[in-house]
Amino acid sequence: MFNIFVSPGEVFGEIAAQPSRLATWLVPTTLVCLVATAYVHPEVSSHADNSPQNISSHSHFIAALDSCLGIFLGTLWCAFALWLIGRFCLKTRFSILKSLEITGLASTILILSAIVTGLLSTVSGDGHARPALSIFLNNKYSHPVAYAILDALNVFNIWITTVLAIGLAKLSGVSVKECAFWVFGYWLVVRVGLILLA
Amino acid sequence: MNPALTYLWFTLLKRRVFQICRSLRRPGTFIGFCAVLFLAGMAFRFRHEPFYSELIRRESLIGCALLMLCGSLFKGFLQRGLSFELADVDFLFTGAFTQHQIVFYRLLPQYLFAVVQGFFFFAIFKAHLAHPILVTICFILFQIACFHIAIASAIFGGTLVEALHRRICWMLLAVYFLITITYLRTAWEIRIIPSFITSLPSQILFYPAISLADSGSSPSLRQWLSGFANTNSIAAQQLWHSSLWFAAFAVGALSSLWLLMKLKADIFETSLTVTTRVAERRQRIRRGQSIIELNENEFQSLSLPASPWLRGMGAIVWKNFVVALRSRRELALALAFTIIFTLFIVGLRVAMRRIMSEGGIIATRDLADFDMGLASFMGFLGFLLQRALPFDFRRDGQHLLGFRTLPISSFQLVAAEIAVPIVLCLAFQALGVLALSCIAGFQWPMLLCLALAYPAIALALNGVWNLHYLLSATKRAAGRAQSSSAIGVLMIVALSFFIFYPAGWTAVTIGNHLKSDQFFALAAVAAIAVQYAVDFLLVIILAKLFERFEVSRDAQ
Repeated sequence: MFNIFVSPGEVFGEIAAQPSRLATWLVPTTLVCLVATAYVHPEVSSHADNSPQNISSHSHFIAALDSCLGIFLGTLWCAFALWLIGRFCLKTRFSILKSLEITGLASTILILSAIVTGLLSTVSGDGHARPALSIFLNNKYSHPVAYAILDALNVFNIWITTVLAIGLAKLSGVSVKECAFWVFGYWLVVRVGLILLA
Repeated sequence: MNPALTYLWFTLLKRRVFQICRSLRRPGTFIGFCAVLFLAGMAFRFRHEPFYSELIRRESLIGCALLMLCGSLFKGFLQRGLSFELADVDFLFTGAFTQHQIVFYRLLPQYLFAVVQGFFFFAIFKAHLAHPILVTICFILFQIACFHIAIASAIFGGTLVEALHRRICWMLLAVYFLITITYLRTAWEIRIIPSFITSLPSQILFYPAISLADSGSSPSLRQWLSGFANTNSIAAQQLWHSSLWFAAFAVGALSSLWLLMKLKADIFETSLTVTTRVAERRQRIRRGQSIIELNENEFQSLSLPASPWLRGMGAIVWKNFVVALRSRRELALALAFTIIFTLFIVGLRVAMRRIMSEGGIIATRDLADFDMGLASFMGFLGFLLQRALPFDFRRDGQHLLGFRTLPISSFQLVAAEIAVPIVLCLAFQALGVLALSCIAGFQWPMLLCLALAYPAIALALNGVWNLHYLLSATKRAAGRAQSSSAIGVLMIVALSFFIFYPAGWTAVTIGNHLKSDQFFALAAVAAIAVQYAVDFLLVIILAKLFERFEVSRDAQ
C-alpha cells in the first residue's frame, strides 16, 4: 500500500493482473475515515464580518459519521467515474471493482495530505493554510473566486489526480497521456470550471 | 496550381451548373429552387430591419466563428481523409500531379463557396456594418481558413488508427462542450450549470482530490439533502419532482424490458406467419387492390341481368356495382363519414333554431341564405366520400390491358368506371340532405339547384382523382414507379379545389354585374353549366389519357 507513494505504476500493474480483493480498497478508505474524524468540527467558526454566521449543532459522533459516509460515497463515485471514462471515452472494458481498488489506494495520499496540511496550519498559525497556490493570497474574502481556484490547485490534489491517471492507464491499457486528459479534465478542469461558471 | 487542374475544375463547374439548370424541369426541384430564391429575396428585401444588426453583434460573431472553427475541425477529423469523385481518383492519383496540387484542386470549390457566401453576407449586412468591405473580406478569409483546417484535420485523422481516432473524437467533443458552456456564460450570461451545484459538498464529487481539513467544515450531507428537499426554490423543487417522475418511469421501462426478455416463447414461427401476411397486404396496396382478402367461397356469383341497359359500358357499371355491394367495410366507412358530417351540419341548424326560439330575430331571407350555406357545405362531403368509395380505377387499375379488348370506346369506359362512385356519393349526400331538410325548410328552387349542383361536384371530384388513379395504374402496368410522389398527390389535392374555380368565377362575375336577387338564380345556373362543361372536358381528358397511355405501352 505504501508503494503507492513511490511507484504507483508497479502497484497498479499488480492490481490489474490479480483478482479483485475487498481489502485493497476497504483498508485505505477506512484509514482515511479515521484521519478525517480528527478534522471534524461540531461547530463551524464564524466567517468574515459581512458574512452571516453559520453554527451547526450536531454532535461530534454524528459529524464523524457524516464525514465517513461522505468518504465512502466519494470513493464509490470516483470508482464509477473512472469506470465511465474507461468505458465510454477510452472504449475499454474493465471491472468497476478494479477502479474501486485504484481509488482506494490513491486515497492513501490523502492521509499524507492531512498530515502536511495540519503541520502547515500549525506552523503558519492560519487554519485555512493549505499546500496550494492559495497560500500566496493574503485575504481569502477579497477575491473569493480566485481563492477557490487557487485552492483547488493543491499539490496533493494534483498528485492524487496524476496517480489516478496512471491507474486508469494500467487498467485500460491506453497511454497515460490520454488517460491524463480525461482524469485531469474532470478532477481539475471541471472543478475550476464549476467555480468560474456556476 | 497546375493549369490543367484549374481547367478541369472550371469545366466540371460548368457541367454542374448546366445539370442544375436542366434539373429545374422537374417540378420538385423547381419548387425547391423557388423556395430558396424566395427566402433569399425576403432576406434581402428586409435587410434594413434592426433584427439583422443583432445577428452581427460581437457576441454573435464570436459564436459563429467558434461554430465554424470547431465544426470544420471536427468534420474534417471525422472524415478521416479527403473525398474525391471516383473519376478523379483514376485521373488525379495516377497523373503527374503533386500532392499539393491535388489538395489545392480540392480546395478550389470551397474557395468559390467562400466568395459566394461573402457576397451574400455583404449584400445582406452591408447596411449594418461600419466597414462592410473589410468585414466581408475578413469573413471570406476566415471561411477559407476553416476549410484549410478541415482539410488538415481530415488528412491528420486519416493517419491515425481507428481506436485512437475514436478516442480523440470524444476528447474533441468534451473540449467543445467546455468551450460552449464558457461561451454561453461569458457572452450571453446563460448558466448551463445550475447554481445549486456550488452549494454541494463538492468534496464528494472530486474525491479523492480533496482536502480532509475542509471536509470537516463543509455542510453535512444530511443538511444538504434536507435543504434540497425542503427548499423554497421553485427550480430545486421542480428538479426534485422531475427527477422522481423520471426515475419512476425509467424503472417502469427497464422492468418491463426485463420481463419481456424473460419470456421463453419461440418468436420465429409466429413472426414468419405475420411477416408473410403483412408483406402480402403491402403488395396488395401497391397493386391498388383492397387490403382485405376476400374469401372466394363467401359470395355467390351474380349473373348479368338481361337488361339492354347493362350491355357494353353498362356491364362495367354492373360489375362495379356488385363489387360495391360486396364491400361492406367501404360502405360502412362512407356511411360513418356521412353520419358524422350530417350530424355536425344538423347540429348547426338546431343551434340556429334554438336561438330563434329563445327570442332571436332573423330575417327570412337571412335564414334561407343560412340554409343554403349549410346545403352547400354538404357538398364538401363529396371530398370524403370519394376517398372512401374505391370502385373506380383504383380497383380496376390492374385490368387496363383487359379493358382495351372490350368493344367500347375509351369515353364509355371512363364514364362507366366513374359512374358507380358518383352514384354512391350522391346517394349518401341525399341521405344528408334528407336529414337536413327535416329540420330546415328548403324551397323547391333550392332543392332543384342542389339536385343539379351535387352531381356536378361529384363528377368533378371523381374525375380529378381518377386522373391520379389512372396515371398510377398505367405506371404500375408499365412496370415503373410503385407509388406516387408526395408532390403528385399534393397537386391532385390542389386541382380538386381549383377545378371549381371557373364555376365560382362565373357566379361571382355575374353576381357583381347583375346586382339583383332575381339574377341570383341566373348566376347559379350559369355556374352549374360551367361546372358541367368543365366536368365533360375532364372526362374527355381521362379518355384521351387512357388511349394515349395504352399506345405508349405498346410502343415500349
